[in-house]
Amino acid sequence: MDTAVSVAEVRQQTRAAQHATSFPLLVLGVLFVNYGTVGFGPQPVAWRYAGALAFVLIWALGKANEYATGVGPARGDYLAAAGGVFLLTQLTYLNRIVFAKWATPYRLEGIWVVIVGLGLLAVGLAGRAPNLAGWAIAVCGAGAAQFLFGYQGWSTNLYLPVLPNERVSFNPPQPYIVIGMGVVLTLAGLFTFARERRYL
Amino acid sequence: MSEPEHPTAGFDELVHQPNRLAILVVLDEAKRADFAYLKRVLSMTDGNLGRHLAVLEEAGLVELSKGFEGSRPRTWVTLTRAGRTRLRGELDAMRKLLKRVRR
Repeated sequence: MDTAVSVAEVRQQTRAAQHATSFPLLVLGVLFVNYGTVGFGPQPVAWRYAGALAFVLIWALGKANEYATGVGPARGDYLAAAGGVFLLTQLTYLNRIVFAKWATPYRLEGIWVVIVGLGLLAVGLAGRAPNLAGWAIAVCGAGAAQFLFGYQGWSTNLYLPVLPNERVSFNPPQPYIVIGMGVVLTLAGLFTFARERRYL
Repeated sequence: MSEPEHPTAGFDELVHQPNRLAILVVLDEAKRADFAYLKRVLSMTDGNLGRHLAVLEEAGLVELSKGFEGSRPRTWVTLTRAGRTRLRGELDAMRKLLKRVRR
């Protein structure tokens, strides 16, 4: 029976050495705080690429950690997830969606958060990491909440033409739901990172 | 009606050895690991780890690739498809045994 216990311990220790949980939580947390705060305003990286790039960054952190510690990256293919997130995000730019009556910027942002959450869910399920899958479901929930309850009055931005029946208001409320999710993910990531380091 | 086979009959002698099992579990979790990491995390000596890796390599369960990073020699160990299959079989046998013991 000791062997069964030690198998679980070895798995846990390996995941801690890989920072398999903290890296994705930290990267996605910072992503949501940043893009939630600025919304669709000017960014060094356009939001339509940022989600996919966040997954590439998680993969790169795993590779850097591999060379530093000698343990390979966590299971679950972050590059494949980046590709999926990129493709799905581009679909939100289809005219049929972006010019649809219901497609306010905050609704689009909600969809984007759900897409990022789905990417994390795919990685969590493929890597048999139930905690990551759980966080992914929370992210999807935050995206859905943003879509449903986020501020809807502001229906255009600098990048989209103003349609005659649209109303433009300035200083719209920030999407607190996405920012809140980002803060929670970041804090959970920091806490997990500290725990992973203690485990080593 | 014959008695069902005892779960221990499913144990794989080569994989069941605790050090080799631990090596395979680490490699199953990570895509690969280097010799130094395995040695440190499993608290094994160079000789002991080397011997177990040789057994696993000979059975085709792991692959070793030796190289240099700068002037530092580094040996990476990767789990093969056969290694993953044998590990799954062993873990299944252990699960069955635990289930039987806890009944």
